[in-house]
Amino acid sequence: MNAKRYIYCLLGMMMAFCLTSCGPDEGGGFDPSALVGHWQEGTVHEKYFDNGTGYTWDTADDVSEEEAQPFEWSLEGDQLIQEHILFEGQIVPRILTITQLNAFQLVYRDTGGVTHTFTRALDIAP
Amino acid sequence: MKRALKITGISLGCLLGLVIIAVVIAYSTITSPKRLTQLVQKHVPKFIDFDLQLQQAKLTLKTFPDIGLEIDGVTIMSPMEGAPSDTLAHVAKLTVGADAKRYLNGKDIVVKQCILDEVYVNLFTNAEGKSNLDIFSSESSDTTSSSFESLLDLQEVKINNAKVLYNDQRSKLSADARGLDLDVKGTLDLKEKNVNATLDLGTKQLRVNTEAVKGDLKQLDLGFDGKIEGFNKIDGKLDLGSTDASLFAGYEVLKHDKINLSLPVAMMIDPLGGHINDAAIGLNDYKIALGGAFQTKEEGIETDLAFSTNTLDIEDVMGKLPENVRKSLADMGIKGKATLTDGKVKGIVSDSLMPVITAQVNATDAQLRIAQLPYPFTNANLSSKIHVDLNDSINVNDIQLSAMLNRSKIDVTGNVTDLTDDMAFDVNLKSNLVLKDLKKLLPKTMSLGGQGDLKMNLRCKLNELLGAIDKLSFDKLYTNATLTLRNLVFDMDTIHAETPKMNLALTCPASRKVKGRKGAYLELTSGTLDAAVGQAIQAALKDMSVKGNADQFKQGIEQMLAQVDINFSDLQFAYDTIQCHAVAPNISLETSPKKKQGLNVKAGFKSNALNAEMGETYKLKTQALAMAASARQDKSKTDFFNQWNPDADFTLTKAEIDIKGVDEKVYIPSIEFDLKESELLFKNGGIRIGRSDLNLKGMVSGIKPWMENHDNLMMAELTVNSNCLDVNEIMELTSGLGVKADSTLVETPEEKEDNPFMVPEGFDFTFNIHSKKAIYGNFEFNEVEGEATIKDGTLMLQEIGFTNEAARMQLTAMYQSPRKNHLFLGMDFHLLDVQIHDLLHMIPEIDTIVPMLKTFDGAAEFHIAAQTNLKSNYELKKSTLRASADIEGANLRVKDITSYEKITDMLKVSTNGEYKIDSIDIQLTAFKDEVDLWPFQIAIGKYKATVDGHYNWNTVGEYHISVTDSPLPTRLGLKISGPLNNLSYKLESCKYPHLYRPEKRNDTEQMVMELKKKISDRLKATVRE
Repeated sequence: MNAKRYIYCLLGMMMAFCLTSCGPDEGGGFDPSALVGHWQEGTVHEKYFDNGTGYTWDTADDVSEEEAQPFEWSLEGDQLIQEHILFEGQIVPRILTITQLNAFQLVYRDTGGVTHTFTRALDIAP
Repeated sequence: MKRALKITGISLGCLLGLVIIAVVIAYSTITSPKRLTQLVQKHVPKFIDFDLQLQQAKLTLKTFPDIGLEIDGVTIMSPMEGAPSDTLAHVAKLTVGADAKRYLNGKDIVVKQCILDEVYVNLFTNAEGKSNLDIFSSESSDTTSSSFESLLDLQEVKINNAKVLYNDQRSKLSADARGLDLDVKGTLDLKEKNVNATLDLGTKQLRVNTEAVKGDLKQLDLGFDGKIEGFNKIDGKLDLGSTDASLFAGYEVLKHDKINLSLPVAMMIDPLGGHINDAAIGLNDYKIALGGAFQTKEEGIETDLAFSTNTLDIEDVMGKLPENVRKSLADMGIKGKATLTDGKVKGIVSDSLMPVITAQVNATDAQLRIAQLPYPFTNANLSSKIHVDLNDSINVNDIQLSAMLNRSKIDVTGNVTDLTDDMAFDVNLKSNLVLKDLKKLLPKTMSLGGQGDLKMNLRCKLNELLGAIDKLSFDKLYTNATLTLRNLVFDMDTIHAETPKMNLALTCPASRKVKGRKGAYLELTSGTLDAAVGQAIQAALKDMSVKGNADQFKQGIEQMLAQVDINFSDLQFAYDTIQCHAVAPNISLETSPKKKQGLNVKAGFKSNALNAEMGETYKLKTQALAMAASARQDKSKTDFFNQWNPDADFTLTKAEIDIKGVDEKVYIPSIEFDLKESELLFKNGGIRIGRSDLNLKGMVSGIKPWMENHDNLMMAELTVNSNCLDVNEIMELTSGLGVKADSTLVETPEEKEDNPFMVPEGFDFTFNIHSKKAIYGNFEFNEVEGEATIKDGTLMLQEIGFTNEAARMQLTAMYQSPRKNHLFLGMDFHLLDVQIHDLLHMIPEIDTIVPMLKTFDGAAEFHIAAQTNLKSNYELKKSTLRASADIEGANLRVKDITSYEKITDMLKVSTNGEYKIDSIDIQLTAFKDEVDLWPFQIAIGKYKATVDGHYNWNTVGEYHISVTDSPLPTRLGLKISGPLNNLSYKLESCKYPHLYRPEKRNDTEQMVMELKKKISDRLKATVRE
């Protein structure tokens, strides 16, 4: 990777840091647009797109991004709903409670009370 | 003839008149030549009325003891328009001798000698028939001749060096003779018209020209010794010879040939007839002995002659045959020596008829070349009877011929008829054939090696025979032949065959054997035969029997017309990796060539028992196989099967297919299917695989494109009727079909050991399944109805409905195998009216997902949708597991009474000793290894409670029960946590007091209820009515 590309990345990260909040807004919610992007927790990846779709994959299970599984998402307040769509259209909803969302980090708690901490992954073209 | 004799007689009479006058004058006057000449000139007009001139007359002693008169320059003039000269005749010197004794005794002048030197005769007849001889009027001639008839006693007439010209414009005949000498000795009795003479005639050259004939005879000698009575009856011997004779009569009959004729004859001129005794005709070195009789009849001259020859040079003699005969034999060249014996000429000779000539012909060491044959017949020895009937035909009968055809020996007996027209054979032929000698007779693409003993009866015409040889078309031949072949090697196009021995019987035309058949009929037997088609197909045949007809194979197999029936006791066949062994197979072939489109073939195959192997993977055994195929040759293709591309109907009976790596064999009691270009149509019958039986009907298409390139799609629409389907066995059987071997995936050693089911690629198959029973895992299902598809790597069971003793079920399932270590399994499963314990028995994995379910029993309705990716060993990839389920039940019995009582006691719920739950409506979802039990309500008598839970596959979970409806004032909550086998119970506050009270729900509870409904609705949406 060349130096110019590093500089652009650094500038982008600084701007994101300055423009995003670290906790819920005054209404107790998070900005859905902040969620858009690629998040990574260890080998687990989640990607959120601004059209309300996304997908997830876990490289530990020998799954590549091309083989990722789709979901639809919505964010109301701190409630992040992921609806994972099965092959015949059935759904597997997940109600996740976001505790932190900023340019670098996404933290949510699942219904089992387990907290998942994602960091934003930078998709930089090789 | 009569006219010629008359003219000759008149001429001689005139000349003799002159002679007598001269002699009389001489004897009367005995004076000087001048005086003598004047006397002759004075008295001539008294005897002749034409212009005769003479130069000088004198006495001579040349004729001593006869009185001699010599006249020089005698000229007879007869001018005539168109004639080459006004001179009719000119004699340079005329010498006559009269009998002196008789003259002195009785004053009779009897002429005994007449000698003419340097004679010129010019005979001319114009187109109107007027001749310069007309000056000899018949009246004067008759008078003259009658006056002198008694005065002639000619004993010698000589003509020296005469030149005779004859031109008859009316008959368009001209002739001339030069250097003609004539010496006639004898007597001429004009009164009785008798001649008793010896005649020698020689001429340096005689030329005769007519419209049809041109003759040129040099050094012609003609001799006659005999007598002629009444100018009609001839009895004597005629000799004729020329050292250089040429005769053209439409063709060159003679060309500078030497001819001789010795003809003892006793004959009548009018009517013509008589006998010829021991005549000899010579032509160069050839001698013909001739004898017999001929007689004039009303229709012509009847002949009955016998002849024989010395040794003839056949080629030389053939060159002298009439052109039409030679033309008819243009394709033949004959060399060698021959003799004709016992010859006969018998029959009428006339303008329209010719006699029949027969002879025994013997030829030795002859050579016969026939244009259509690649080699000449050599060392030919022939004995035959020739029958020449120019009115009809020329035949050769009783032929006994032995000859060599290159290295093959051939013996022929029989008859050949109609030599000059449409030569026909009726012969028997024996041969010890060297088959390579036939190479040039065969199509260029065909070759033969080995030897054969041939016995053949041939009845055909030459044109038919030559046509048959040339075109290899045998429809018009009439022949029977047997051929025993040894060490036969046969090659034609890409077909190769060889056998140590083969017997062959040929019948032409084939219609003699089988009505309506064309070409040659062949019966062929062979003990063993090895055959190959290119490099691709090898075959070994035992006890082969071939019966059939073939025609038109000059242009090779493409144009061959054939109907063949082939039987073997044993056939071994190999094509590429396919090995085949058939017992007592029967093959039938029928071809119908189309010039532009190539060959059409209909083929049938029947075999009692057949074993086949395809590589080491597939083995087939069948008790009976029948195949009926038709194919049209596509010349643009090179590969054998692509070129022929058959359309075939197969019937397989009691077959067994063994697939390597598959425990169960495939049994086929009976199945009928059609293979057409790229389509396979299953018509009837079925197969059994282990416990499965399949009755297939429908079409498989796109086979050939798929075989050529697995990137192409093979398609099928098949209806499967079955009594039993064992899904496990079928998956094992079909695993991996069409999966590319050149996968780029790098497999770990562990993965190499795994062999998951790989969905066949390149297929678009739809199976409409109707099965009374299906087996999957340990379960049996009944009345299985639905659709299964395999499409390009995806196996889909679409809304398969079935029942078993526990439930009515509907299954939609999807299985994909994009790569070995990343399989996909999805299912949408509905169990209607199922007993919970049966559900857990059928799908034990549900206990993992909903462990609390096993505490109940009773009727329920269960809907579940789940999907996950699997590793190559079918281990779940937990990160990809997704599932949602809906369970509804009523009047459920509680099985875990201890736990139940503990819970109800703690929650102060009165059960009244009944261990049941009135109703449940559960939605649960699984994500990865964690399960959410969405809040649901249960009713136990007057009590209602809301339950939720969250647990993972380690069965460590946490449940909560909120009592929402109770006669008691308190609303308790209970937390149950820990592993299922060691749960802890702890009272806590009620978590869902208002969830089932819509008017009091908060936003989160409302959202939960909406999601619950969405989960349930989506699950039930795919239930088929």
